[in-house]
Amino acid sequence: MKPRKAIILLLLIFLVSIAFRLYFSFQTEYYSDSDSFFHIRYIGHIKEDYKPMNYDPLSFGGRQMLVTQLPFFDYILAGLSFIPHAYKIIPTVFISLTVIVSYLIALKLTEDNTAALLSALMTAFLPSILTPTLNKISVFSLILPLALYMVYCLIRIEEESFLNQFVILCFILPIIHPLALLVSASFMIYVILVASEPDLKINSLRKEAIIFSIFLALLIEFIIYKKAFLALGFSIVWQNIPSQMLSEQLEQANLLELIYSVGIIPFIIGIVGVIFGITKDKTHPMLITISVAIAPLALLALKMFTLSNTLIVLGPILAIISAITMKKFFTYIRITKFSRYELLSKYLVLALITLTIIIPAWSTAGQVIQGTITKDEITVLEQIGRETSKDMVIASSAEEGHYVTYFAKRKNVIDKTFLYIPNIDSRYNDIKTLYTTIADSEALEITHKYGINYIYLSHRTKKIFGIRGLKYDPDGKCFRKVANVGEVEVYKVRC
Amino acid sequence: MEKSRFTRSVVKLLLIIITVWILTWPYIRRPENLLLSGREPYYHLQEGTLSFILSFLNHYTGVSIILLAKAVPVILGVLCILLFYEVLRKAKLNYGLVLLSSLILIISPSFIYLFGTLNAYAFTSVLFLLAFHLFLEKKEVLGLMMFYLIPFFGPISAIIALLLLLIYSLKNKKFRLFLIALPSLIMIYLLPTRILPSYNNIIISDFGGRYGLGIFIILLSLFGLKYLWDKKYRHLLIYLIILSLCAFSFFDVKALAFLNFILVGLAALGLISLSKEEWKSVLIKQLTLLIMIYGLIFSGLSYINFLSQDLPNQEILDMIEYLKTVPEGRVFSHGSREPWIEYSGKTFVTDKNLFYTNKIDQAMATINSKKIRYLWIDSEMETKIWGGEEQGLLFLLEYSKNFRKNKINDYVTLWEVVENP
Repeated sequence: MKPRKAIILLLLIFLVSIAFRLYFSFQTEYYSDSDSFFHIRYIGHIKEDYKPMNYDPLSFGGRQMLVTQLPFFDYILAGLSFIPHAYKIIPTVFISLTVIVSYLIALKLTEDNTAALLSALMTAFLPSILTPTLNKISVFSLILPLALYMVYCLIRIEEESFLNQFVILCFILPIIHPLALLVSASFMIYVILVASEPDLKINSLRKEAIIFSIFLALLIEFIIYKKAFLALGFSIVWQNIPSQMLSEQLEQANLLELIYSVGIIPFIIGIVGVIFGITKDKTHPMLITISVAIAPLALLALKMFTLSNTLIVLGPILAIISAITMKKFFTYIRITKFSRYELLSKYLVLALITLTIIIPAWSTAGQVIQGTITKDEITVLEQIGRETSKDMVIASSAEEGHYVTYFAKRKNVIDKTFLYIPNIDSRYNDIKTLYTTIADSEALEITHKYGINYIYLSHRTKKIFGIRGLKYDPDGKCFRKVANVGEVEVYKVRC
Repeated sequence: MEKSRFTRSVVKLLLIIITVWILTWPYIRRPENLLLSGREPYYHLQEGTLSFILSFLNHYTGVSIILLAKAVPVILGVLCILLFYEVLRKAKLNYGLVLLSSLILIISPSFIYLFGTLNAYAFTSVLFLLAFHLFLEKKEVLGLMMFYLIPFFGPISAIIALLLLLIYSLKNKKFRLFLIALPSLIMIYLLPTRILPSYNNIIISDFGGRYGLGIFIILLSLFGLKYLWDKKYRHLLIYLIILSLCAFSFFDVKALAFLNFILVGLAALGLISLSKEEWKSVLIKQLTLLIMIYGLIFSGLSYINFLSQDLPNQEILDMIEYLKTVPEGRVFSHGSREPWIEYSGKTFVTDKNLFYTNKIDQAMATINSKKIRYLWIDSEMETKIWGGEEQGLLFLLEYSKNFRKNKINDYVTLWEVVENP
């Protein structure tokens, strides 16, 4: 394939990716997770004050915010907020850039435009990237393409322009997200992989760049999370996520679901590509890419990385490595009797990708959009916001915490910004008990403990806790239903 | 290259100024009315060799014990740096390496802990360095005398010192030195010194380790080790010392303070070797070196901040003062509160099971058998022992008539056992 044609096709995939995402995003005026609404509040604060939010009066009933939320991504969005629908369009463009970076890495691995383009196409529709980033304001939209581009720069580090870009990214990445430490860990794994190969040697410049990136990432993260490191020690890698939430996540995950998240085709041919890479094509670009796949898996095995974060990184990497298998397949076809069907074989792979990734992506995207906050939820939350005084505390699940702070503009008891919250396990379990207990005395103990005035109960809450409603004293002396629209209810605590 | 006497004097003067500045910084940042930070100093203020030394100095100088408890470690820190500098210089190491090692030592968290608080290891380190300095000056008798003084400051440091002497003796074929020093071990049995518990076993200071090593020192020392490893077994002595001190730190994390002296040397070597190595990219080289230097400084500054904000706070000190005034009785609390409670003159008692018991009969049986009269509960204990929950002993204290609040402030509650509820 001619390079010019490849570039046109790549741009087409990039634009299709943007169009696909925006098509679904604009089916609703809201966002598909509660964290996005926290970002909107944060960006609003930046636009008003120009400073990062030091104190959030609503999250966890009021908390210090310093360094729990690295503001770089929010500053970018605040700066670009003059663009209409900026919070929908900008993250979409950012995450779609992953397609281009995937192509670049795959091309470097295979030097085959067709394989690289197919791998870029897979990346565009991977469920593991779609679910956490579609119609959501997520820092992963920015960090993922940047991290992959950093890997690409390391592969081409001998060229001065890439060296300079690598240096710049070494500074930028750690201030956006701690995922920079994962990239450093990957580079360390690459060094170990090369050391275990007697025929390979890391060139000096790449070694220097790796040393530099590791030290810089460590220093920046230590500066940013100084207090958290001192308070939580090494367990900061868990970001203070409640232990029950972590174990629930791991319990719920099964191999089939994992394969589905990464994508069946990228998973299978990606693994085959890894095997080729480790056994036959032991090149530096190959080992660098494989090490990026190994790092999150190793950290997940050590319970130092969440499953969802692992999948976000693993998905595109396997899609990139898939290019190796596809190239081998096309080359193999070329030297067999079926060589005249080479073009057909490429269409066959394209059809397979369409059937197993692109079409299921449509349904995945539909599910994500279906999970968006509903009109009923918003109506109830806004009503509670109007009818209550500002210091009221509303209990909700952690997943809905920022719906409470954004729509009702009232204090929540828990949300998903866990870092620095003391006794988070106890708080998380208490909220679970509040929704699942049958004893009103136990529920009252919890409402008194956190000063809860209202209990928010939506279809989402019911699904999260596996309940059909509150089992204790509904509409009794101590808990009175004060709002009910559709499936969404709010109870007032009266005792 | 040997520097002139004048240059060396200027360097020493600068080292003294920087050491005093760094070691007094945690005190300066700490609110004026707060006493010493940490737990161990409160033990040393009341018993042991350090208490004797402070009382002796107080008697002859008239300076208050508290001021002495702050000043003596700083003076020891200055002595330590000067001895460290001299020992390295006399060992005929490159002058740049000597200077850089000394500077890294000053800003290392372990050194700041050792000489920024009243600490038995501070005395041991100085005596140990002095002994080696005397050995290098060929004053072996005087050097050996130091080994007989070390056991006064604790058994573990005495054993570590002897172990290091053994390695030195074997390396320099002066085994008699070790044999002469060996009987000093008898002092351990003769002296009534207590092994103080380590209240924090994290080995990296940046992760909250009180006695820990700085992460950038560890990383840089790996580069130093790599440099030494190029000469394979020529530096077997250093590997042996590192391994033995690592092994000792498993038993007593404070042994890391000794390891720190070796690691700062290696870190300096690592930094120099990296700077001398030919790098393909000058930009990356300069940035990396800058980051490493900044990392070393950041680790130290961050630790100074940690030390200046460390407990005890004003509320704890108020409670210690209050405890001095209440009628005699044993005080129950967590083991980490022992030095503070004993500083008030009261007898400390602890029992892990009592924290978690939900049954009042069981709790009262323990309280009566241990003759406990007061119970010291503070906010940190509530979080760390009970996870902020009103459970176990905390629940009993709140709801049983067997206890009453004797004194309460924003941080500590002193409960008293009611004799006839």
